[in-house]
Amino acid sequence: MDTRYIITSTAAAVIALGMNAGLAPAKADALDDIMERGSMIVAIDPTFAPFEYTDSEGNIIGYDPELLEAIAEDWGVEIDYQVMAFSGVIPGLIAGSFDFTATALNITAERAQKIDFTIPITSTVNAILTTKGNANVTNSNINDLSGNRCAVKQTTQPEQMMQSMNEELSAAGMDEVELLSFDTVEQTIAALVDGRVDCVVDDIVVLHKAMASRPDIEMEIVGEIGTKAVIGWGTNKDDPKLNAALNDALKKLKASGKMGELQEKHFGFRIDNLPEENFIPEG
Amino acid sequence: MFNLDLFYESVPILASAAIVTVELTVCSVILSLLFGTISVMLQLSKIPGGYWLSRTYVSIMRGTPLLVQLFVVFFGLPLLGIKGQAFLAAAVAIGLNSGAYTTEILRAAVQNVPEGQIEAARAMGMSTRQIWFRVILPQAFVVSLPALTSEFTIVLKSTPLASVVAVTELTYAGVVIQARAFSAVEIFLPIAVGYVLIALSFTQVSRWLERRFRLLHT
Amino acid sequence: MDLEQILKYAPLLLEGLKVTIIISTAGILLSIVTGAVLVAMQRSGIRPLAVIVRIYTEIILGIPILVLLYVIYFVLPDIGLRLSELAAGLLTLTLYYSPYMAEIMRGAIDAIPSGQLEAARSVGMSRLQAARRITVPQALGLIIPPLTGISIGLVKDSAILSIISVHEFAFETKQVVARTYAPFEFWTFAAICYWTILFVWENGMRSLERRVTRYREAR
Repeated sequence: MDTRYIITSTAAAVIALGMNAGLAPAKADALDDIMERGSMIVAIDPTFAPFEYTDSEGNIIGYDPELLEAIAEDWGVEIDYQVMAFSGVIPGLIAGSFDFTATALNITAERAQKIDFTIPITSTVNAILTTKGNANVTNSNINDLSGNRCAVKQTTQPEQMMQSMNEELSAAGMDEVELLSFDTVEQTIAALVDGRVDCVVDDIVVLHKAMASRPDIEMEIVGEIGTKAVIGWGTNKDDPKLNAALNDALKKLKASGKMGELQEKHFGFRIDNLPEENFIPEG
Repeated sequence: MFNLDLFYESVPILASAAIVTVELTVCSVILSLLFGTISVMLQLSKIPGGYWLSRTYVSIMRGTPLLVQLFVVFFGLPLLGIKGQAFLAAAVAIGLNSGAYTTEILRAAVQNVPEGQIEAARAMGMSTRQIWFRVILPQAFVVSLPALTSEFTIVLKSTPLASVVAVTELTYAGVVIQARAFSAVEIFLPIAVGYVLIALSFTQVSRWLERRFRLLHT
Repeated sequence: MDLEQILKYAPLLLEGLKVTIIISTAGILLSIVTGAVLVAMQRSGIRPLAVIVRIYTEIILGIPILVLLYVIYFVLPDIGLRLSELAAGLLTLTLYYSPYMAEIMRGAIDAIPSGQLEAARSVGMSRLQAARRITVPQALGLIIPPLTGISIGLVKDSAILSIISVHEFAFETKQVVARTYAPFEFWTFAAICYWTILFVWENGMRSLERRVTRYREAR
């Protein structure tokens, strides 16, 4: 093998792939771009009912889109959705491929190091879903789940929560929960229906929606697991003006009661006392 | 149980997404042919450094997953001040990727052109450029048609990856409907049929081209 | 690039890389064997077999591997066939790549004019000599380049098994990215790892190709 070939190849690979790591674009705040353009480019992954999903004609609907529509109307701009798989959303936001994301994001300390969050627009908790009458899973106590198979959506907060709980289980000398990680909520439910797993762990609101969507299968939520978390949208760290403007708009929607109405409509209940400060959990 | 209502309401959405798939495939194929031709000429002509440049390009494109390349192009565009050009990013990334395979296919075909022909062309006073464009490449393309066709069906099948950079093509449109309807068969059956039909029409076009060129050569 | 972070997660990532290498190797071998069976069926002279192979090939060449994986993992249980994650993954790679392997073998067999063998026999070569000196070197010369390409494709496509929870390299990379939120660093690292393995493989195959095609020099 020719050394010259190896050296050129390696150098080119490093340059090509490392290119985007170092350079940061010098640009105006995305808010100015939006106003100038008359439209906001917003990333969304509409596979997460009731937060964001599609109707039978393919229109994007849900809690987040309706909030966003109210803001767009207020600002007098159009919404230009960038519909994309979730795995591209946060990397794209960091790179500045769109203005911001209105996909429901769990507000976590790790994410807050890389992106900015808006104020929380809802709070949530994870829960355990199983098929009715499953003798292996009767409650949501982690010690009782030990040794069972459980489906989660990959790279999400529920998955990471279960992984930490597994560490505690094995530290206590117990069997871990065997995790199967899939790409979408629908696939975790399919794994449960096919008998590949005993239970599914996800956001309780999402699980309720999933149960309602599969009336042919008898499923039940046996309990909540883990602590409550807050959900918000994400902006690039270079766009503080946009972040502030979104926060102002969201506060206005909250004060007018519109946000509560939408929560009632999409979740079936209202969430009071959402924090507006110090809402980033400690890492 | 096959939910016919879901099937009927999905078909129009899937059909318009299928058009995006075809457009993306065609644009990527054109770029692939362009990159592949340039690369094979660099590799086999006597341009200084051309060989190494082409080999490096092929090696990187073939040796790293397309997903990573898509990310690099998509996240590289904002550096040039381009926002929201998902289709362009996807076509360029897939075209660059496939261009490496096109290079390899053409390389094999070019090397099969008998040395005697090139010598004869040179003896007739043709320039190097004329030899490439009139003697070598036309034959190479005809000989490579079957291999290029299967490469381009691979391009077709790699387009679902474009969903991570915000192109709603056929597969992702299906995933989005699936996420709402919690059902797979009604959506993935028409999707699978759609891909097979698109691929078959590519193959038919290629067969037709093959027949035409074979006629020209006899 | 944050080397410290990469070192921290390196054991997990290398574990995933090991799984990728194992399933890819198994996938390549199984699809070569299955591909040979397909060629045999097609050349058996039994028409229904040839038709089955033809239809199977058209379907596989037309659908994305992702769709095939969905069908094998999520739809087959409905008709009573529930495979484990690893088995479903290997079956997908094998079913998907065997027609490509078959096409390579078919192409190589067809490319060698039968007249050459007759000529070899007429100059007094034995069947074995003819195979060793005429058929095999030419066939290998024709098989190795496309086989390299197809097997590289298989290795990279094995990343798709991450969506059904096979803990291979891409799965572990996604996990680490989700924990560190450093997509560039870890996807670049992943790219370099894939590239290194495939670079070695490709160059190995190239020198093998040069060895077996030495006869061309003498032409």
